[in-house]
Amino acid sequence: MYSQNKTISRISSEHSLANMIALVVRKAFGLTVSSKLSLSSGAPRVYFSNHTSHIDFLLVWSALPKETRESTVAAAAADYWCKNKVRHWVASRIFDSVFIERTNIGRCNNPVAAIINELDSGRSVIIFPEGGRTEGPDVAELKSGLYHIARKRPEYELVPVYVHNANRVLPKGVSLPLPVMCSVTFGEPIHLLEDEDKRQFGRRARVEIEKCRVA
Amino acid sequence: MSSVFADPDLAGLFGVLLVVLSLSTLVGRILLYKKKSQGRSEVLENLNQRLNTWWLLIGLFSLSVMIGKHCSVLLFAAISFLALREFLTICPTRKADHLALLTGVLIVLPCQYYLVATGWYGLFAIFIPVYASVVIPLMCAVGGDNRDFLSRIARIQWCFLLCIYFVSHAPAILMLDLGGVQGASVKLLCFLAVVVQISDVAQYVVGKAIGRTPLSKSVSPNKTLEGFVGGIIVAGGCGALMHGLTPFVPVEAFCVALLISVLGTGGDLVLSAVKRDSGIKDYSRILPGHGGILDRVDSICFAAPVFFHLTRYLFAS
Repeated sequence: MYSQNKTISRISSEHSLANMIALVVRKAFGLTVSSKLSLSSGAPRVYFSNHTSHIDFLLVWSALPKETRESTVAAAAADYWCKNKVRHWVASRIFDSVFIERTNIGRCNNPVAAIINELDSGRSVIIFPEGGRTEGPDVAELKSGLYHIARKRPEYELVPVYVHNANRVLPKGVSLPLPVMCSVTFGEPIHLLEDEDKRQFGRRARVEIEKCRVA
Repeated sequence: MSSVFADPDLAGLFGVLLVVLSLSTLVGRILLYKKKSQGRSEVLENLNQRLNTWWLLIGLFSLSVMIGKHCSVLLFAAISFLALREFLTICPTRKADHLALLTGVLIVLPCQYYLVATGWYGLFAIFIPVYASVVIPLMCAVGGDNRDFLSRIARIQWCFLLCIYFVSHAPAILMLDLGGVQGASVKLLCFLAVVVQISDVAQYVVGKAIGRTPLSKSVSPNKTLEGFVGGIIVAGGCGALMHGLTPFVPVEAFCVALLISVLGTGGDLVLSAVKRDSGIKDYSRILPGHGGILDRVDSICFAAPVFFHLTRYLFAS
């Protein structure tokens, strides 16, 4: 219900602002995109990426072609992005985020349910399953959210993504971005295997992100 | 705008460039068209890509020269910025260096080009070697991270020296007063830019044609001794032909062009060594066919400062 209201209330100037931001990001960071799959597919997907910087989402999102970008939302941590009005406005109006809880998760604010809701209404979601920003370029252990999405909705493609250099653009705790060239690599989609448990799947998904790093 | 077209030497230079580029593009397209029936040829595709990029580069350069001095300064500031971005990308730094690096991009670079634009020679010459070199390591130290400290500050300082200080000496030629002749410095900048690029192209062509002995196998395997010698002679010859753009007599122009060409090759070799060290082939893919900005302006980086000071010492009043 929440997500539908949000889409309707988004006006066209916010759309063009979003496109302009994507263009600026691509130019400012000389963004190169490499992908093993077609990014213009309309089917809802989960893009799961490493997370070193606030700019990660911007880079992944800007790397997508325009049509795909318009139907792609971010999973934003509610405890950070709803903290003040500016953050909330940026996250909800410009980037069309779905807010997820990292703390105090109960029955009615389940992050997996919120993401599945977006997917079911035809939108792709960018998530950072490490559960927070890491300090360096290495991929940390993944949280279980991705596994639960894969189990509950096996039909959606889960696409591993590695963002290069974002930790140098805007490391944790720094407020001005440094113009360093970045690239985003999309890997081959994965699905949950039949006999795979939570830990095995998490490990495999992490390896898939790492594969994009060296590719 | 009118002053450039009114000058017969400059008009001649751009005319010749236009003809050469058009002919090469025509030949390139014909070859590509003929080869199409026999499948793809990577060399030819690369050649055509390179030529397309040359159109863009020469177009931008001549446009900036025509519009005026400040536009040329702005063009080189943009080149500096792109070069800096490429260099920072491959240059390992740590989080504690963030402030120092931002200062380089947001303050040092604009200030240096502001000094060029206003012709404040005294500060232009020492701004980075003195002031930035004092402040930058200090900022890294204040960052509080001691790991690899010496190599980090050395890398950062050299990066600023190369991408900002050295590159800024090319537009700095515009601040030279060559006997009070109107527009003389613009022509000198064109002389430098054209000689450096001719030297690069000639080395490549001569090297491909008769090159055998590698110049430095480990650093730049494509460079040959024959290409180097041929290239600098061609560059010297073209320099002598273009002496009308300079305050030099033909023999002087030949020698200066020879020197520019040798220094340019030096810059090329040094930046190739940096690339090998970082395990990359090109600095980026921003210029199709050529690679990155640094792959294109590596020669200018080394030739411009020496050329600037030499000319200033010998000829400027």
